[in-house]
Amino acid sequence: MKILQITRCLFRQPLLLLMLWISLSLSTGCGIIYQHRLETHAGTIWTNDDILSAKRYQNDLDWMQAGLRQHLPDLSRNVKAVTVLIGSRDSEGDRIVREQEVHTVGWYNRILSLVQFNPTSDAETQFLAQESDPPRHGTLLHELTHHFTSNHPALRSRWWLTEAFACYFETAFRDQQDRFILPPLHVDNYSISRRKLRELGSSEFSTLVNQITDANWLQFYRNDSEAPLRYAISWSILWALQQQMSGSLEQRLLQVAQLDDEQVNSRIASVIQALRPPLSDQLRVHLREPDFHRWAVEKWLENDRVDGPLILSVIEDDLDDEEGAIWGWPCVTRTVFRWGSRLPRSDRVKWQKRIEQQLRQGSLSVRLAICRVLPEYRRSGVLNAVLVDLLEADSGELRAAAAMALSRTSSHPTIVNPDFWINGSDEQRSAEVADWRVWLESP
Amino acid sequence: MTPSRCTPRFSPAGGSSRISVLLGLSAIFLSISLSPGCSTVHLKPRVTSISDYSREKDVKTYVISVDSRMDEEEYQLWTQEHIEQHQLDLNNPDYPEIPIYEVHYHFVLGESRFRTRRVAFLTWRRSNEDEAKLEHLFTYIGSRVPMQNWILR
Repeated sequence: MKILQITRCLFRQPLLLLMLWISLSLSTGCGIIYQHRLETHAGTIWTNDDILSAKRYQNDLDWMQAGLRQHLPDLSRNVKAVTVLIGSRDSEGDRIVREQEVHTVGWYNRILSLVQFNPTSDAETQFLAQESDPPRHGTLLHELTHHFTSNHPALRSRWWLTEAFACYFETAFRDQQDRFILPPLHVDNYSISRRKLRELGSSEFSTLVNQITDANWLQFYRNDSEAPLRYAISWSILWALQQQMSGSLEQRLLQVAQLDDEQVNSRIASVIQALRPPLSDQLRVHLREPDFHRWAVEKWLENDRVDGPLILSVIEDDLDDEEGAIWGWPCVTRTVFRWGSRLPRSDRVKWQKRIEQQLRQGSLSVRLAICRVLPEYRRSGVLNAVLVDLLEADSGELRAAAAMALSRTSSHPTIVNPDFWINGSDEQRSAEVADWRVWLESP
Repeated sequence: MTPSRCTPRFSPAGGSSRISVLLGLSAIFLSISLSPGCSTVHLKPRVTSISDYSREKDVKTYVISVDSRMDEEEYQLWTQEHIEQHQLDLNNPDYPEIPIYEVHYHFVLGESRFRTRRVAFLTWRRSNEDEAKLEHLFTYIGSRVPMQNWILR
């Protein structure tokens, strides 16, 4: 015992020196390494990104902190300021996007209250530009959730639970009123867990869940291809079990956290049961809920098969006002011009005509939004004539968007360079439009 | 160490020569079996065909068949050479009066005559800073994303 005390004393001094060195280098070094320092209510951000992106992080961090405080009032009572280091991007190495590559995009250090995260690389941003829901600052929210929750004793050294909490909040989104909305489920994690359940069957899946809840730090965080699965299953356990608890969201989540590993493992059957319904069934439930209907529509449209008539009936309520129309008409377009929408022919033709009418008479924002999502699909060609008309619109941005859309909806070669349609001479653009009109009139 | 102490550690003389023969034979066997293998490893991936699938006036789309995967950076180097060789930043072979806006390269692995697998996709785009140049936008390594989603328009 005495030896241990001496060892501790000897050990404490270098540890203090190390802490002093780290805090000194953090306080002075960040200024050397990073160009911008931004203060927020949550803490300090250091970044080398351009000042506009940096301001967006600042705004996001304030929104995230307010949201987490609202949903986790007890846990966030004594939360200290956080230091956020945003990794640099746009190096040449960032220009390679690797399929299914698992790599660390952020981490959190509890002792230093330090978050580090790497924004989506420019290459990934470019590549994912066509995706309807490009990843934004989910990583930052994930790491910030660690900052708010990891001091709770029930989460200490329980890595699955630590990550489950962070995954629970990482998909929060801003609604039209700028509120922090937590979606009813994490679609990716739900799909990953469900896919694994179908692949393994209940028995083997239960074994896998046991392994994940029993995993030590090295086992849980090893950087292998199964890492996303471990996160997904951790989220699934928390998500499924909190549904059995009562009280506010924070109370329910903490009730799950209070269960020991044995109690958790005894409830795996209910986790499996919660993962049984297909994703479409889950989304169908939330389509009629005011806070989640837009979220449910967008998530459903990312899937292969959709209930087109139901989705259109939900969207229709939003089309009356300008803000709703800017959101709604692209969703209508994505529902109508796709495979597997289950739309009766008469309905489809009716909606096609309404889309065409919007392209002719809608607001500039709506017309732009429709042009940007029109997919490469055999029926999209019915809009070619109106898109050619838009090549002569007053707005250069709209002309460019229409040309891009035409390159997807038609096999006729065109010029897609936006600069040509925005800044090109009237004469050159007229020649190109004339070429289109000849093609439209040809048999 | 004296020889008297050393001797017992080794086998008798006759046994020692047998081991040397065996060792020699296995060394020859290893060198024969390794030498063609090593040369195969060092062979550079070969481009077996280049097809032009361009659909737009200012976007060139090429499908490049290779007999094996390249290193990640090699795709960019190869496409850069291809652009320089054909002066795609200066000339549009199909529409001489229209400058090329983007060049797309789809690399496919020809596993058999009828079966190919996409292994990489690269996009070069006319630079905003220097309009006379095309710049590498990104390299996507993989095959999961369907080809229609690879076309960024």
